Order: sequence, then structure tokens, then C-alpha cells
Amino acid sequence: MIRISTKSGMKGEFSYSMKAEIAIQNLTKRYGDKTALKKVSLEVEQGMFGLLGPNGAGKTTLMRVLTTLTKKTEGEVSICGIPVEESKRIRPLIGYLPQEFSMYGNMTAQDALDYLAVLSGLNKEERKKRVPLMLQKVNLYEQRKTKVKAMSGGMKRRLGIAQAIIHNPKVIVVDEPTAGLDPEERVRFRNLLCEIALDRIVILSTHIVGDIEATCENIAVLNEGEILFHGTVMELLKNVEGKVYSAEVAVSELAGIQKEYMVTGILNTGSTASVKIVANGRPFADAKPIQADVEDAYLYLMHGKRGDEVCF
Amino acid sequence: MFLTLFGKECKMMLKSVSYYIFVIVFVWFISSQMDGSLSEMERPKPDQSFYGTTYVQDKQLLMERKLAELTLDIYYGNFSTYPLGFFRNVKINDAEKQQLQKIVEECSGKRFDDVLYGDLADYFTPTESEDMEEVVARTSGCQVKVKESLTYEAFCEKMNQVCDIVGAGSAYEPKKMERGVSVPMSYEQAVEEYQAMTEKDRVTGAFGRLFCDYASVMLAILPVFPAMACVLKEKRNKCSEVIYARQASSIAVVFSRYLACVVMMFLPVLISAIVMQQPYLFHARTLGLSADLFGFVKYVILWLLPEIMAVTAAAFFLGQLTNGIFGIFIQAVWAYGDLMSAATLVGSFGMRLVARWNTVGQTVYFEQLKGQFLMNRGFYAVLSLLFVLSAALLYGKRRGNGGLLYGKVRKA
Repeated sequence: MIRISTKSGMKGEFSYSMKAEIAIQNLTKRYGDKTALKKVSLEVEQGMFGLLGPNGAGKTTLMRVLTTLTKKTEGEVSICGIPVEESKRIRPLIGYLPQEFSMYGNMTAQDALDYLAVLSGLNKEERKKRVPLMLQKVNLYEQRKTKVKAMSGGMKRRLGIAQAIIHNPKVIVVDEPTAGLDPEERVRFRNLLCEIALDRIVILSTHIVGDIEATCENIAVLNEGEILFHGTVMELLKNVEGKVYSAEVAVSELAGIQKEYMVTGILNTGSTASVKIVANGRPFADAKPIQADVEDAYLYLMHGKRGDEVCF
Repeated sequence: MFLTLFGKECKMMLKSVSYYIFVIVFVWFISSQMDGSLSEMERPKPDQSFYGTTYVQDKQLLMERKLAELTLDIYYGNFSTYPLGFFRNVKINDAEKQQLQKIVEECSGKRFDDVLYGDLADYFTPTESEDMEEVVARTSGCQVKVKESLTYEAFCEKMNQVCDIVGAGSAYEPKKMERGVSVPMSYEQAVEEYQAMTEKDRVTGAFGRLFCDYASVMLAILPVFPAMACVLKEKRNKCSEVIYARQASSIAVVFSRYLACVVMMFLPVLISAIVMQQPYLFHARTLGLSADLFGFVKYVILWLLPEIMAVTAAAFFLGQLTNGIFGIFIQAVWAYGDLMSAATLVGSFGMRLVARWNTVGQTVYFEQLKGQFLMNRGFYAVLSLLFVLSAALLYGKRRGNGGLLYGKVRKA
């Protein structure tokens, strides 16, 4: 048994023998007349879990319910068997990296991490060990004296991860973590998330399909507050198997093709273009079936939900 | 956890611009008010023509003084009023003059001219004194006899009629009469006052109250700015969610910040008091008087700490309630209204936030009002705790379903 953040008593205590899982049953969240989440049900187990959906799908609301920042309207949500209403017991189990992570601008990376560690209940000895350790883990140790306001987006995001794991939580919730990062920074960040997901749940909420594809085995697709898909990446790809085609077309035909089919990729090569199309049947005679990727599967799912029949 | 958080919040305040503005404005203001002179500390001599004034609660005398004041204002046709605290000279027309003269006649039972040239004949006699305080005391000491059947309540009713004619903010508002009436001191009273200042106040206590008077004016509004900056720093730095999702209870977060604000704002006030007490200590020693080393400090703790606590707590509450700087305007109105509603600059503490004592000494009078003063300060200390508790509740509500009392407040 590992105890964090408290010297004695039951407060803030959890056991690593406790199963890391999140159970969501018929979760509904309403803001006045608007329903942000509609009877969402999900089971999440240890490892990386991707939550994919367009902007406004309800991902952030779901993240906020899990992190106790928003009260649910209906349904049951539990983390490691503890109902989410018990925020006192839930908060030590959760690490949260919000969409726009920031801290007090005039604090250094080290001070910010130490301050948040205090708020997470870590005592002096624990902080003395964990703060430098976490800074090293996210490759910020050399910049520990850099002020938050002087940090780049990538550095801030890494500090965000460090603060989310400083108290060794069982569940880490990261909301749109790679938005605005350069490609190299994005790859480094994804690898970091995979690394820390080895012994806990990491929920990665994003609208960037590439992030999910590169990191998650299990995913859910959320749209307009409803779960459209819940399963593995392979299962999602299965939906679109044999429905992705590639064809060489004249550039002048592109507009018409885009109107008629779901085009998921265009590569211009002068007067012709190579297009990638998702369709239920072969769109034209010279179109060749190709291997689908997660983006194709995601778009297929989303268009299907919206009743976009043009390509099928 | 609580003490560590408190320490970190104190450190954060030391990096806050609003805190340094608070310190600079306060120190500049207070040092411009206190001159370090001990001219008021001379022992009275039996042959002096004037020994200063003191306040007494004598309703008969008060009515007679007010009536004299009213008669002279009617005679000159000018009334000084302070609606909303700003000076306004009110000139009366003939009809209003007649109405006011009638009030004087009803109160005195005599014709207006008889009052003016009979009861107030001395006023029109030139004086040879060069002591300004004496001249002011003599002219403001004029009295007009009221008729025997006139009760104080009936007199107040008449003064309300005067206020209806000349407008709000005049000296005839009955609440302004609560201060009592200023009378010249006798030699014996002056000696008693001197002894109270040197023995009870031990010199520095008397000046400590004056320090608190000036400081309390500034501290009615100044702490709002660092406090509001502290409350809104999460929002300004866009880090609310990261902090809300932590384990620390709302009460630990809010109280540690509040305590840090109060302590950090009280420190420069306390240091200023200690520094500004030094000239008085030095002068007292040169005069051979025994001075109280804690004369300023004890008053600063009793007088100004509850005020800083209350103003800071109100800022915390309003900041949490509005999640914006709107609270500053509410508190500015509160401070201004409180200052302007003061019936007197000496005493009359009531439930006012700004406790005024704009005089050196008046130790005997202060001793009489001490109970009222302590009750006032106690009230603000309790009120501030209620405000902070409410702020913590609001903070907890903003954190989603976070409870108020969980988490270990005293965990290291």
C-alpha cells in the first residue's frame, strides 16, 4: 500500500492494489437547456485511453466531471470504485492537465511545481524528492529556474504533465495536450504520455486523430454529447475496411469529386491530383482500395452520424 | 499544509506590484501626517487664559450652542453643507430666512432680533486675543437660551426642519449632535488631561491614537487592491482549474491566502508605527517623561488590525462573489460612505469601519468611550471571519462539488 499526501488517517489515502478503472453509467450533464452529455456510458481501464471528438462534442465537460470540477446532472461515475461525488477521496487519485495549462507567471517552474505539490498534500520530504524527479522526467530540470511567463507552449505543457503526476495519481486526464505544439514537441509529448500510462489510466481527450492513432489502444468517439463509438482502434478501423480508395484525378475534377464523395486526402501533383476517398463502393473504375487509417475511420463514423449520405 | 501554503502565499505577495503600491502609498500618506512634534505635551500653568477644549455630553448646552450657530448662519444668510461629503455653500432666500427665523423664535421663545442682539451681543464685541484656538472657541462658544419647556427631542425635530430647508449635510442634522459639545477646559481639567496623557497614555499612547486615526482613513480602502489581486490571481493567470482540482480544501486555500494578505499588509503598518513612534519617545525622554515603548503598537493592533482584516475579508468575499473587480467599487462606496457619515472626527465610534480620533490626547474622553471602541473593533474582527468563511464557501462552490471542510488544514 502506498500513501501519498497524508501522514496519517484515511484522508487522501489509496492503495495501489486498488483497481485503476473508471466506470461511467448513463452520465448526463445539462447546462440550463443545453445538454452537453447525453447518457454517456464508458468503462476505462489501465493504459492510454483516447477520447476523440470534434470541438464542442462534450469532451471537456466529461473531463471536468471526472476531475470533480463540474457536477453531473444524472448518472453514475466512479473512479477506482469511488463515486465522483466524493471529491475529497477522488482528487488525490486524479491528475489533471487542462486544455490551457498555466500557472502564476512570475513563479519559476520549480516553485510552481512545489506550490501545486503542497496543494496536493505532499509534505516537505516528499516534495524535496518528487519535484526534481518530475522536472527531470519531463525534461525541464535544466530550466527549473525559468519563469512560467517565459516558457514556450511546449515547456508549459511539459510542466503541466509534471504537475499532473507530482502526487502519483492513478488517473491522469489530459485535455487537448498537443494543440499548438510543433511536430517534434508533439511526438516527445505523446511518448511521455505513453511512458506514464504504464501503471495508470491516462485519458487523452483530443480532436487530433494523429495523437490518438499514435498512442491509444482503446478509444471512444464523442459527438454532440453522445458516444458514437467505444472500442479498440482496430475495431474502429474494421468499420472502414475496404471502403478507402485512392485515385488519380484531374485537378479540374476535384471540386465535383469533393461534392460527391468524402475526400480525406488530396495530394496535388501539377495538373492531376491523388485523392483519398472513403466510400461504401468503388467510386470510379480506376480507384484502388487502400489501407485505411484512423482518420478515415473517424471521418467515416462522423459523417455517418450526421446522415451525410453523399459518399455512401 | 496550511502553514506551508501560508508561507508560499506570503512569498507570492512579495512579488506582487499591488502590494508594493499599498506599502508606498501607506508610508507616504502616514509620514506626511505625523510630524513628530510634542507641542501638546506642555504642563498647563495656572495663569493661562485658555487650556484647550474638551467634549461633554450636555444636551442643554448643546441646544443653546446649536441655536446660537443657527441664529448666526441666518444672520449671514449662508449655510455650509456637505452633501455626500463635498462642501456646498447654501444661500437662503427671504422666504427660507423667515421660516428659519421662526424656528429660532419657537426654540428660544423670543423674537429673532432679541436673540441676535441680546443673547449674541458678545459675539459682535471685538476680541484682542491672538490665540486662534481661543478665538475659535470663544466664537463657537456662543449660546442662545432655549425656552424651558423645549425638550431635546422637540429640539431635534426643529433641527430636522432646518435640514429640510438648507439641505443634507448641514451641522444641524441630529446625528451630528451625538458627538457632544466642545467646551473650554478649566485649569483643573487641563491638569487632569495632562496627567492622563503622561501617566495613562505615557505620551506615546496619545500620539498612537492620532497615528491610528490617519492610518484608518487609508486602510478603509487601500487593502482592497492587494486583496483583490490575491483573490483574482488564479483567474488572471488562467490557472484556476489546475488549482481547483487539487486535494487541498477550499478553507485551507482561502484562509491561507487571507492570512497572508492580512499579515503582509499589517507588517508595513506595524513597522511604520514603530518607526514613527521614535521621535515621540525621544522627545518624551528629553522632557523627562516616561514613555510607553508599546504606545503605538498596542493601538495599531487593536485599532488597525481589525480594520485590515475586515476590508481584506470583504474584498475576498466580493471577489469570490463577483469573480471580478466590481467589489472594489462596492468597497470604495463603503469606505467613502463610512468616512462621510462620521458625526465627529473624535470618538462616536458606533459601528463605523473607520474609527476616528483626530486629536492628540483627550485621554479622559477616550477612556469613557473605550467600551464602545472595543465593541466596534470586536464586531469587525468577527465580521471579517464571517466574510472569509463565506468566501471559502463560494470558492468551494466554484470548484464544482468540492466540500468546504475536508483536507487537513494543519498538515505540515
